[in-house]
Amino acid sequence: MLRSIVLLMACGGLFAAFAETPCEKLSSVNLQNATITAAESVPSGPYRAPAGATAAPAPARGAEARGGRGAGKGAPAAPPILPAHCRIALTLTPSSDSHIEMELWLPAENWNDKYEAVGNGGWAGSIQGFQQMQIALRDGYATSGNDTGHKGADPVFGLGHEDKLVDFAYRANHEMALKSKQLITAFYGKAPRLSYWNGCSTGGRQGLMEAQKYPDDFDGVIAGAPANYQTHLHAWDMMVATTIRKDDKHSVPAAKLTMLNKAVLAACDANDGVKDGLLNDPRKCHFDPATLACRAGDSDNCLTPPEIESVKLVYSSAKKKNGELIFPGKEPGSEYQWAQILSNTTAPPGMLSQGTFQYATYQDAKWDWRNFDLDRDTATADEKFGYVNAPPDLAAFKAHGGKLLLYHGWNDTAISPENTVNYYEAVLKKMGGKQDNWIRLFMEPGMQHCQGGPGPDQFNKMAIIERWRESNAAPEVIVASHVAGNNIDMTRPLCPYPQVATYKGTGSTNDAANFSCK
Amino acid sequence: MRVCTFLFALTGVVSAAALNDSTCEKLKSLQTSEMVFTSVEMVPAGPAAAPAGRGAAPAAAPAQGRGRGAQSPPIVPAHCRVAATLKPSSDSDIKMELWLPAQNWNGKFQMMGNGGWAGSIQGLTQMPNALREGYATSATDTGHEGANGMFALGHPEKITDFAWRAVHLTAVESKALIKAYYGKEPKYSYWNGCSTGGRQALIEVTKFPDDFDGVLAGAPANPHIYLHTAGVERAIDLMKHPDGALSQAKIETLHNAVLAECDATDGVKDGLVGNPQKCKFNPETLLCKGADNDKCLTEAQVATVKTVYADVKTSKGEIVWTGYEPGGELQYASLRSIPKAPGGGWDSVRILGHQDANYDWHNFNLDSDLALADKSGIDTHITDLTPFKKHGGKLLMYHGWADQAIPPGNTVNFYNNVLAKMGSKQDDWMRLFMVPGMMHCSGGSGTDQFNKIAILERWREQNQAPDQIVASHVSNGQIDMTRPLCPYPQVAVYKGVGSTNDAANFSCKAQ
Repeated sequence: MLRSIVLLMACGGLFAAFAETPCEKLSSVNLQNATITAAESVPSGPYRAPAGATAAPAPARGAEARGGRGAGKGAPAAPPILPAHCRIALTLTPSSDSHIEMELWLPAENWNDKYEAVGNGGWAGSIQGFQQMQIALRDGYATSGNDTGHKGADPVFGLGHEDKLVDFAYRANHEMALKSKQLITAFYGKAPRLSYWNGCSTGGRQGLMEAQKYPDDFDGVIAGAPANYQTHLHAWDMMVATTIRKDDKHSVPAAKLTMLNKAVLAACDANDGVKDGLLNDPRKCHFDPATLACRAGDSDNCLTPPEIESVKLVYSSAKKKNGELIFPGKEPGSEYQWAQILSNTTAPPGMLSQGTFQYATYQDAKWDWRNFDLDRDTATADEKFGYVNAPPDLAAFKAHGGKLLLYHGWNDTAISPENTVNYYEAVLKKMGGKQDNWIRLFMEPGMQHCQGGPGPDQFNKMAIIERWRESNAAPEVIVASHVAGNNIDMTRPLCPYPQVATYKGTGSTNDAANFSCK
Repeated sequence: MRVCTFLFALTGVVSAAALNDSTCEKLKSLQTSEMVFTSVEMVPAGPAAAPAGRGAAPAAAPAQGRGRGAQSPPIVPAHCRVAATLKPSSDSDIKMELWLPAQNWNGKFQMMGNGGWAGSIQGLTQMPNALREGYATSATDTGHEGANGMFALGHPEKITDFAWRAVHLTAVESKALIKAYYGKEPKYSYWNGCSTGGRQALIEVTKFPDDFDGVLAGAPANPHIYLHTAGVERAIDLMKHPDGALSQAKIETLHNAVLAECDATDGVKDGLVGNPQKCKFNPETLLCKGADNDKCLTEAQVATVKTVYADVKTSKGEIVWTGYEPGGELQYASLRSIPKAPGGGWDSVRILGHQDANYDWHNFNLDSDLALADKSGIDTHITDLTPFKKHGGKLLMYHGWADQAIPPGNTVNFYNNVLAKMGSKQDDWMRLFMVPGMMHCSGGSGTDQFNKIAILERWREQNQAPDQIVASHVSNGQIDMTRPLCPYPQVAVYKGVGSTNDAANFSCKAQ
């Protein structure tokens, strides 16, 4: 009895402490190591990008362009109408060298009591999540995104700025989650009931990092095509890039890659029971590119011996000399996208991958990619910059009650999809084989990096993880759609790994109902 | 006799994986004076090309493109293409095309409908899709060229062709050619049409109940004469208030007022009116009290709005066609500009009715002109669909509540009339799905994307009736909303938690 009264009093005290704060007064909230640069009530209306914001990448959950109600097909989409919200811009400074810019948007009405954080791509360097934040806001979430602490999608920022590399690796998102929750609590008078992470690519790595390092930050994490381990991902890139640049014979023209892709599909497409241009499990395709060897003279319809070497290299894993796997290769079926890897080899390797070594690891602008050594440089990167990698230790996240939804497209040529299978299996190995009450992986036949490609890539990830976390309805199957123009031309089930969608044998192969997960 | 010999000869070929050029070539022997081939040819796999002279196809069938937005022409599999002219009467000139997949025929036939006054093989845009899915597929121009009613002047036989004969004969000849090509009849035959294609669907169901085993009837323009005379009457009513047009700002004011009153009644404020027939919005509430401004309507504008929403009735008070439904205001052309002439439906009165291209619309009388034009025999007015039901046919109807071309209430009335005639429990073979926010056949802010033919097939072939249909809305190549569509009279009701853009958070309930 006495205890209840005390509890009630404590609650009363808490309630008083959590009194709602109007938007414009939020700048007076006491935040550690953070400065609010804007706190403004934004009325309902079309989205206006903040000055200086760079174009956001295509969002993961549908470009919400429904503002022009009744806009007919083909009509230019009207800018999305956003509900009235409190917009807060902050600069976070967890270290003296930090300068993390973030935005937090708080719906002025119909808040769904939840928080959705959105991630970045590549080396970040801007708040890339604005488009996703618009969708989240319209669904009633408080939502935030950040630039990870530097400007520009280029790793040069890391030179002499280890603190900024730490911000990029893990600190910016954690700080954002803390500050977002503090401001949400101040604005509404109560903390978010549930918090979600939604990211792909670097955003996928960020999701895994949060789940591993700060397991209480989020109750549900969507991690698409995670760029994790980043040091190993980029080591594979450098292995291929440096090998094929050793002479001028190893580059492969785009036309030959199209031809190769057709040959691969001709050999393997029907293996899963349906000829549809999609390989349900490309690992089962053992196409030998040597069968395309030129017999009489070079042409677009055959491969020269060095070209065969290049193609085999892209399929292959990067391994240390002792045989230990560093990072897997690309999958059969994805060859039509390999021009970026194999065709333009007169230019130096891209800064995306090179920067992990040149700037983040060696801190040396003069570092020469030609001297890349797989064993040595991977080991050094792990030693100096390994904190960017999220290991598969998720016991604390599981204990927190978190759900982890992983997805990856089999046609991803930016980040090899098998790496996510390996991550998933590493978690199971660590924690025991039966973990599907909190972690599931959905591999997507024919999907490219995060989205796009010939495979069905459209599904409502947030709705799925919410039903899992909030209603305990685990996703046994996800019906995904493929869109061409403004028409859905195929639906298919996505299946929890290691199951695959299997054709029942009758009915349209473009209709999910005619497939089952097996 | 010659056909029989040919069929016999063919049976040995059927088991082969692919039917070769000569199998296609041999179809030429089926030519008669009533079916003259203009082309019988094998078409290799490749991008679908609209045959020359057929006119530009509207929004093409989805391409199996690799990246999103890649709008390359769809690749169609190798097929035997038959183009023919049907001449059931001396004045008939019915063009049809039939495409027969050379490999992996799914054993079925799918025929496509027309739009508006037809006058070209509009189904050519849908046929690549059907072919890719393994169907033998065909369509017709209904026997004339040009998307208006002038063909009917002095050509009673062409009226008959447009009314029902072209579709029926194309179905019959398609089936005969399919049998000749594959050595067996199609296991199932389906009709897939919207707008005029929806009318054609209902004509087939009533007049030729054995032609199809499953019928998709979208936004049916049925009865044609009623739709057109109601349109004429509405246009003439609108002309009574020449200053009654609404500016864009006023249309938005009207739309927002409708939403304020009726949007939330389905449990979700989402810009979609779940059941517009429950919305009793009165435009007089927007009448300007002081000076005219964007936030109010003048008396003439109120009259316009009332006319647009109102059912068109005969002098006896019988509904000829329902009015446009509240919620779709942003797309209703009649709000935006007052017509100066009675529009495309006028041909149904002056040509089909009076056989006089110069007939003056000022003489229009709804009662008498409706009766006169109806004598053209375009429509059937049959609501007893027992023969189709007995055939085992399934009828799947759909109509967008925000249809800006064919007011959807008429389809609800047709559905109810069938129930009144045949008994209230018919959902084992006929269902109607009303789509909130969908415009004419597709488009709009509602969820308009669902695999109609797959749903119909599961119903007919596996007896899985569609208790609900999960439909999607796509914008900029991304799905941004899914919702259940519900068999009328049920509506999708929000369960109260979760995203309102996710179908799983809604259920179908009787209102």
